[in-house]
Parts: sequence; C-alpha cells; structure tokens
Amino acid sequence: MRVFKPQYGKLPDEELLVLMAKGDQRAFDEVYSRYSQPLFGYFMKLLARDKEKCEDMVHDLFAKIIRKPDYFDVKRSFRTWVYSVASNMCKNEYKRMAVRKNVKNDIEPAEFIQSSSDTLKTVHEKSFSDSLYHELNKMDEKHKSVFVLRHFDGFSMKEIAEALEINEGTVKSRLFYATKSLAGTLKQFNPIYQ
Amino acid sequence: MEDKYLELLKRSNYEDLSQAEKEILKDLCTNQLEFDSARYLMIDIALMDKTMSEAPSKDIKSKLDSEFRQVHTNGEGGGWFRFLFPPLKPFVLRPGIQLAMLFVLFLGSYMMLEFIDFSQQTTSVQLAKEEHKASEDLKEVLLDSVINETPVIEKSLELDLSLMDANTKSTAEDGRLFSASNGNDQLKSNAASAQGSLVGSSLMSRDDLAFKEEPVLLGEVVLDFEELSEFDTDLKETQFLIPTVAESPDLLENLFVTF
Repeated sequence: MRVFKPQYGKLPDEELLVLMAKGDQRAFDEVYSRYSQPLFGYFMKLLARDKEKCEDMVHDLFAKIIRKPDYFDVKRSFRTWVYSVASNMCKNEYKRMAVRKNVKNDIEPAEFIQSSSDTLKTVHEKSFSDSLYHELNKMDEKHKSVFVLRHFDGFSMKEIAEALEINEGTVKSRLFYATKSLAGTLKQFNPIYQ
Repeated sequence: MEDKYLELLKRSNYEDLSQAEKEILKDLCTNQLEFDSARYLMIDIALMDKTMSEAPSKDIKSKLDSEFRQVHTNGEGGGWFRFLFPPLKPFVLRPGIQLAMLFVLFLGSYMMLEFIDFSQQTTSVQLAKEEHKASEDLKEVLLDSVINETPVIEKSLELDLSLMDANTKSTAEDGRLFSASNGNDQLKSNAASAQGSLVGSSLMSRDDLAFKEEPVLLGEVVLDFEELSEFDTDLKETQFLIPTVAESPDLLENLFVTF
C-alpha cells in the first residue's frame, strides 16, 4: 500500500492504466493529457481533417479505455496499443465512408473536397501542411498510417510494426513508398522547382 | 540503424553517398532529383510538426470525466467484486481466482479422504459378510455329511464346529481375512478322521488344539484363546489327555540319570 500519493507525471503509462482501472481520476487525467492531443492529431491526419469526427473518435477511444480497461494487454506497451486501437477505428471509419460513398454517390465529403480544391487552385498561397494533408488523404490508408506514425507521432519502425500488427520489413517498404509518393507530389515545395 | 535513411537524407549530395548507403535508399530514391525531393519533404515535415497544436475541445474531456465518474461510482456497489477480480491483473494473480483455487484444493482433498475411508469400511464389512456366509455354508455341508454318524463322531464334530465358530467370530471381529477354503479343508479332514476311529478322532482333536493354542499372528490380530480353553474342559471328559506329573509322579522315573 502506498503511503504517499504517486507522482502521476512520472508514472509510466501502464501503471497509470492500472490506477485508472481502480477508479483513480487523476490517473485518467494524466493519461488524457498525454494522449488526447497526439491521438486527435493522428485522427485528423487520417480522417480528412474532419474535426467533429476526430473529436468523436477521441471520445470513443477514451470511453473504451474507461469502460473496458481489460482490453489493454498489460504485457504490451500502452502507446503502441492505443495507436493500434486508433488505427483500427480509422479502418472501420474508412469502411463506413466507403459504404456511405456508394449509397450517396452524388454527395462527396464536402469539407475535404472544398479544401482540396482550394489547395489545387492556389497552390502557392496555401501552406505546405494543407498540401501534405491533401496528399495524405489521397493516399492509401495503410501507407498513410505508417507515414503519420513515423513522421508525426515519432514511432520507431518496431513500434509501428507492433501497433499495426505487421512486420518491420513491410513497415519499411510502406514508409519508403509513402515518402517517395509524397516527395513526388509535393515537389513544388522543393526550392529547386521554385 | 532503422532510421539511418533519415540521417542519409540530411546529406546534401546524393553522389556523396557510398554504395552501401545508396543501397539503403534504393527503394526511396535512385538519383539526385528524387533524393532532393525526399530530403526537402523531411525538412518541411520537421518544421511543420513543431507548429502543430491541434487538440480536442474541452467538452470531450468533461464528457469523459462524467463517464469515468459514472463507471466508477456504479462500481462502488461491487467493491468486493472489484477487489476479488481487479482488472488489468494477470488471471492467476486475482484474489478471487486464488481463493477459488484454494477452496477447490481443500474440497478435493477432503472428498478424497472421505472417499478412501468409506471404501475401506465397505470392503471390511463386505469381507466379514462373505466370510460369515462361507462358514455358514460349510456348517450346513458338514452337518449334512455327518448326520448319520455315531454319537462319538457327533461329539467330535461338535468340537470342530465350535472351533470353526471361534475362528470365524474372531476373524469377523478383528477384521481379519480368513480363508474359507482352508477352514473347509480342515473341517473335511476332521470329519474324515472322525469317521475312521474313536482314537483317531480324539487324536485329531488334540492336534488341532495343540495348533490352536500356539499364538497365531496374522497381520495384527491375535486369536482369542479364552474360548479355546472351553474346549480343554470338553477334552478332559474324553479321558485321552496325558496325566500331569503331579497326578502320577512315576512318569518322571526314567527321566533322571544317575552317575
């Protein structure tokens, strides 16, 4: 039994999860402060920057952790586990979007198309980030998630492999493919071409 | 090692890379132009990443907080359950599981002990019953076979039967396994000798008694000879016992050697 209150900021994620499962509100606050922003950013990059949808996804993800802490395998790293859950949620969302697109052929994902058309029209006026997100959204989900995890969330090849449940060789090949593809489509930002 | 390609992309000139380094980047770029494109992409991403500050709205947090409180307030009612089966603990380390295993262990050992005692009791009772039944059968057979013999023989048979009863009783009481077939053989031989002659019959009885009077130890059971002493009194009536030295001191005459 602890005599003193734990210093939540210094505790590892896995220990915080254990405290959280016991009903420790401060442990939950700490987990939320550590992961809400990166996860929201991850969803934003993978889900066409739909803020409302991404907020819902963050909410759903944390609600799952609150309601079913047993889903977390204590032998795994929480960071890779939570991103694997986020990745699966994105996959499900893609499937849902594909179904919706088939049902409503005439209606396109309005916000994204709007922003992308703006980007295409005024490519020099838009920032690099808009173009990047645009290109990312055009990219295949499996390449996009590898690229985002590596370059935005700072995952190592091994962590990506663990989070996406694929082998490291596949991670490397997907990453190179995504980098090459983006480098090709965003070459207008290369000073050589400007 | 795994992020070596990022290190290589920091170089300015593709041609400066060694053959081994180019091999690492072969999937990414194969000439200076592709190398530069990848290089500037990495630089821009690194710059962009620093300026990003997207966060979900505070409503999400408040919603999650209320959800958290709801889940764990409801959990208060099942406090014992949470204590016995805490989440995120390996299955065998949960107190509830450990208690259940302990209970099963105790119950199992108790049941096992009970079963063993019960079976032993049953076996001994069954053996005693079987022995008794066998002896009863033998009695009947023997009575049938000697029913037409002389009174002397009957007397001898009575002695044998009472002897057999004594054996059976002591065996049943002490839980000793006594072979029915042995008893049968003995009784048959006694019956046969009784049919022969009076002397033979009496000698046979004496032999049997001499055998019985020795302490018989089978397992942990010693036969009770109190009942056998009754046969001694019966035997006196037959007048075939050797007289004692006190009764006839002349028996000692030839036993002393004089020098």
